[in-house]
Amino acid sequence: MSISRREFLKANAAVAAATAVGVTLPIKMVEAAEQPDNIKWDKAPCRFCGVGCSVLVGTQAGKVVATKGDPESPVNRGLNCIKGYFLSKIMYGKDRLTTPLLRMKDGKYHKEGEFTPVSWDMAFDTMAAKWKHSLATKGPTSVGMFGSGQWTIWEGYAASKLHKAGFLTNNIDPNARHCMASAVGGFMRTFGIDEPMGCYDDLEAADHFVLWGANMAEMHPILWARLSDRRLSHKDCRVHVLSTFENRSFDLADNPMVFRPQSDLVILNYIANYIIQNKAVNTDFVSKHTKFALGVDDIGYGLRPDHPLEKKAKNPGNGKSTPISFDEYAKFVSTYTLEYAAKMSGIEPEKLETLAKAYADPKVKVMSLWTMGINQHVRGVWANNMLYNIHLLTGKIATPGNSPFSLTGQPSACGTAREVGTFAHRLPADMEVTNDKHRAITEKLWQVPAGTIPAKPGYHAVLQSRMLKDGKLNCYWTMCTNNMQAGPNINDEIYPGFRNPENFIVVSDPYPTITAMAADLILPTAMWVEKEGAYGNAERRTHMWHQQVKAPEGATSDLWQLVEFSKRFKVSEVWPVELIAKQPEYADKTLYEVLFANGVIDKFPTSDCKAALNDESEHFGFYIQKGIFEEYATFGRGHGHDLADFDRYHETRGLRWPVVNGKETLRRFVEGSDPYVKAGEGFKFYGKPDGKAVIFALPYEPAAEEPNAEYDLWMSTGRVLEHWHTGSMTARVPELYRAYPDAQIFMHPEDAKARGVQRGDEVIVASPRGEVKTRVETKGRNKPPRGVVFMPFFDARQLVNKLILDATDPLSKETDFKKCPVKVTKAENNQ
Amino acid sequence: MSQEYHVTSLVVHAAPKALKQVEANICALMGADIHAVTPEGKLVVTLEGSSQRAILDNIEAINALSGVLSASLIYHQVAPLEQENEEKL
Amino acid sequence: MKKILTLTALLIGIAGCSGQQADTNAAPVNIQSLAGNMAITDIRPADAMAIYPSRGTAIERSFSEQPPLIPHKDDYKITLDKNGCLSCHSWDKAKRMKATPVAKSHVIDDKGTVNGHNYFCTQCHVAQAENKQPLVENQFSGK
Repeated sequence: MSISRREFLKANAAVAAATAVGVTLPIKMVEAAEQPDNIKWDKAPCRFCGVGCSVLVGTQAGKVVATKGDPESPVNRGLNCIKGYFLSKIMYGKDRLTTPLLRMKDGKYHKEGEFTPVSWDMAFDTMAAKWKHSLATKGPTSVGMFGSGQWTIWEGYAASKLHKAGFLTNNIDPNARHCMASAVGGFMRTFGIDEPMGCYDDLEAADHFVLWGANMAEMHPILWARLSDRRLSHKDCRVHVLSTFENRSFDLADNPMVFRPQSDLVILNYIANYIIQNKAVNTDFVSKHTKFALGVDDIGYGLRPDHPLEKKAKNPGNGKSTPISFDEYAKFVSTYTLEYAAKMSGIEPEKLETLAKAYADPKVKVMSLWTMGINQHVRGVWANNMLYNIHLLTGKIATPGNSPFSLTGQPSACGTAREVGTFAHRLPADMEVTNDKHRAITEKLWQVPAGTIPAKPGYHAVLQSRMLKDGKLNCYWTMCTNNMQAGPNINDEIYPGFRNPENFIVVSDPYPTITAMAADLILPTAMWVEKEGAYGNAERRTHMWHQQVKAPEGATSDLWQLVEFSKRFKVSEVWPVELIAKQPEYADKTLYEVLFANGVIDKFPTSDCKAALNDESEHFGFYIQKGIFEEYATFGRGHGHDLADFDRYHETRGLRWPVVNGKETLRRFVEGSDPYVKAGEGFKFYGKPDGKAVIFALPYEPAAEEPNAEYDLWMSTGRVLEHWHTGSMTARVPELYRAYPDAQIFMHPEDAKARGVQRGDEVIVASPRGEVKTRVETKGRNKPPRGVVFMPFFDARQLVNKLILDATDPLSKETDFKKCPVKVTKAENNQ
Repeated sequence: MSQEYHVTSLVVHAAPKALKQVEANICALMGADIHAVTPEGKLVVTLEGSSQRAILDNIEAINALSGVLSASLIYHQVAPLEQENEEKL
Repeated sequence: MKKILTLTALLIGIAGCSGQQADTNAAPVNIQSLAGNMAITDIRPADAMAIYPSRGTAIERSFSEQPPLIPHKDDYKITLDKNGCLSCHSWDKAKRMKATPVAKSHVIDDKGTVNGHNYFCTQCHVAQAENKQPLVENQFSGK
C-alpha cells in the first residue's frame, strides 16, 4: 500500500473522531482526508421513529455507502437501533419507482386499466383535469389529501397551504391521525397547547418510570437504552410496565402488570383516588395552577351515524365539560377503589398499590411514558387527560424527572403534522379552522382575502375512507403513507373507496406499496437524504438535513410534486367569483404564484443553501425550503412556538422550541426554564387564558367491541423492532427482512391448545370484517395472557387491518387498533 | 498471502490530573498517534495495525491505563494490502 | 359559499374527462408490492415459519459501521437479573465458549462490565432466518 493511501485512511479515521468531539485538526490532516474518493459524512435525523436520533450518513460517488450513529447528538450520543443502523440500505430496493404510472386501456386512462409509464407532464395534466372537473361540479369538499407525519416540515406546510388556501378545502389529514390525535386532544383539553412540557433529559433525572401500554424496548429503543442505563446505574430507580400482554419491556420491569384491555381508565382513576385518600395531593400546586372539570360522558365510538353503537350514545362526539370543585372531583374518583381496579384489570392489588405509591410519594420523581396503547383507544383523549390528572394532583410536572411524557411514533408527527397543522381542523401553531380569529390571522399571513379558508373542518382519516366509499370524495392524493395496509377496516371501507369508479386516486411513494397497487396514478417519490428536509421529534427538537445524494432519475420529492402541481391551476379556475373580487389581481395568477412565489417563500436565493445539492431549489429558482420555513415560523414566534432562524438548524443537532433569544427550552410552563413564564409565577399553563391546567373527572367506559361466543379472543395489533410501520422500507433491507420475515399471531399456549393448534400451525384469524392467514407463535417475544392475541401489521402479505373496526375516539377521531374480537381456527389443507 | 491494513480512531477521555501521563503512555504504543487533545481531557487517537487483534490489544492497553475514564471507538476501516511487487515496477 | 362556475372552468373540466393521448411507446408494466401477485382482497396462505440456525460462524459486515449480525438464534433472555447473551459473549466467558467477546465500545471497565446503554443486545443485533430469501433485491454497496 502506498504511503499516501495509508495516510489518507488514517486521516479519515482521525477526522471522524475529531468531528465526534468537535475538535479541529491540523490543516494537514484535514487536507489529507479530503481526497477524491473520500467518504463524505454529513448528519441527518433518522428516517424512522419519533425518538429522532441523529445519524452520520456516508456518501461516495453519489450513493450512500455507510451510516452510523451520530456521537454529537444529545438524543442518541452515537447509538442507533437496528433500523437506524440499516438506514444506508433503505433507498436501494431494486423496485424503486422511477416513472409515473397511470392505469390505461386502449391508450387512455381507465379505472380498470393496467399501470403504464407516462411522463410527469401527462401525469399532472391528467390529475389537474380530474381535480378541476371535481372542483367545478361538486365543489372543494370533493377533493382531498392524506398526508403524513413522515413528511418534512416544508412538505406539510406546502400541502396544507395548497389545500386550505388553494383548493379551499379542509380535506387534508395526516396519518398522524392514526397515532397521535388522542395525545393532541389530551394536550389541548388539559393545557390548551400541544406537546410535551418535559424532554428526554428527564430520563436521566427520574426515579420511577411507568410505561402505560408502550413497548419502548422495541418501539423507542434508544430512549429505552437511556432508561435502562438509568435503571442499572441509579439504585433507587424502579420501572413499572403496564400492558395488555407481556413484551420485551417487561425484561426491565420491577413491577410488571398485564391488564385487561380498556381497564387502563380504571387504573388511572384509582391512582387519583389513592393520591387523594392518602393525603398526597400537592394542595399548594393544585390550588394555584389547576382547576377541575366534569367531562361529558357516553360519547360514542366515532362510527358511521347509523351504527347501533352510535345511535345508542347519548352524547356522541361531545368533548365539553363543566367546572366542578376539588371535593366534587374527589367524590367522583372515590368509587375507583383498589378492589374495583384489581377486579377490572386483573392485576394483583399489591402491584397496583406499588404503582400508586410511586405517584403519591412526594420524594419520588415519576416519568410516565405512553404511545399507542393509550392513544389508539376509543377513550384515548380521556386516558391522556387522566394521565395528566395524576401528575397535576401531585405537582409532579415540568421539573426534572417529573414528567408525563407523551411519546411520539413518527419522526415528524410533532414537527410537521401537529405543529404545521396538516389536519382537517387545524392551522399552524395550534390554531383551528373553526376559530374566526385564527382564520383571519392565517389569511393575513398567507396574503389571501378574508373568507378564503373554509370554517368547517374537513374529512379526517377515517371519514376520508368513508367518503371515498360513498362517492362524496372523488379526487384523492396520498403521500408518504400506506393506508391500504395501515388503516382500519380495509375490506369494508378503504378498498371499496379506492376502487369506486367515481374516484381518481393518486399515490406518491418511492416503492410499489399495497396502497399504490390500488391507486389509479402512482408518482415516483424521492426519499430521505435525496432531498433537504426537517423533522420535529417527540421532545420538541426541530432538526434538519441537507440533500446528500440525488434521487433515482425520474423520482421527485413530495415538495416538488405539490408545488409543481400548483402551477397547473389558475385562481380563476378554483376560487369562486366573490372571493376573487376581494383580490382581483389574483384572478389570472396561478396558485403557484399566489401561494409559493408570493414574495415571502421565494425571497431567499439558492446561494443561501450551504450544501452542494438541493434539487427543488435549483428547479424553482429560489431556496424554497428556507422560504417556506421562515414564512411558517412567523406563525409561532412570540406565541409559545418560537423556532430559531432556519440556518441554525443546519448548524446544530436541532433545537427544542420555544427557542427565544437563541436559547432552547428544556421544560415548558415552569419558571426559570420557559421564557414565557415570568419570574415569581412558578408555573403557568399559558395555553389556557387563566394559566391553569384542567383536571378532568372522566369515567370508565367500555370498548366498542368485546369478545363474544364466536369472536372469543381480544386482538391487539402493533409493531416489532425490526420493521418500521408497513415495512415498505425495512422489508426491502435483506438483513431486516431476514431478521423478522413474516407476521405471526402471538397466542397463549393454552388458547392454542384449546383450538387444536400448536406453534407453527397455519390458522385463519377472522373478525366480522375480514380474515388473514398466519402462523401461530406461542414462544416469541410477546406473551399474551389467555383471551388476548397480538399481531403486527408490518407484513404486506398479511393485511391484519382488514379485521379492525374503524371505531375511533369520538373526540380525536383516532382509530382503536388494540381491541378487536377475533376467532382463530386451524387452516385446512395446509401445513 | 494477502495482508490487511487496519486503522481505528477513538476518543479517549482521561482524568484531567492524569492527562499528561496518559498522553505519554499512548504515544509509547506501537501504531498509535495522537492528533488532538481538548482542554477537558479528550484525546483524538488513531491506531494502525496489520490485524484486528493488534488494534484490540492496543485498545485494551489504553483502557488499562490508569487515568483513562473511557475510550470510545469512532471509526474502523480495513483495507487489503496489494502485493508489493506491482509497486516496484 | 355559493360557487359560481366560470365557463372556462367548465370547459376545461369537460375537456379533461375525454381522456388523454397515450405516449405511443409505453407498454404496461408488471409492478408488484411486497405481497407479490396477491390481490388486496385475497387471503394469502401463510409462508413457512422462520427457522433460525442453532449455531454459526461470524457473518461479515456489509459496511464498516454495521452492528454484526447474530449467526445463531437470538431468543436468549435478557432481563434485569441476567443477560443470556453474556453467558457466552462476556469477556470472561468468550474464549472458553468460542464466542466473539462483546465489543470494547460496549464496556465501561477492564472487567468487561457492559454499559447500561448497550445492555439490551437485541436492539442492535439480530439473527437471520436461514430459510428466507429477501423479497426484493437490494442494490446497496457499502464501505
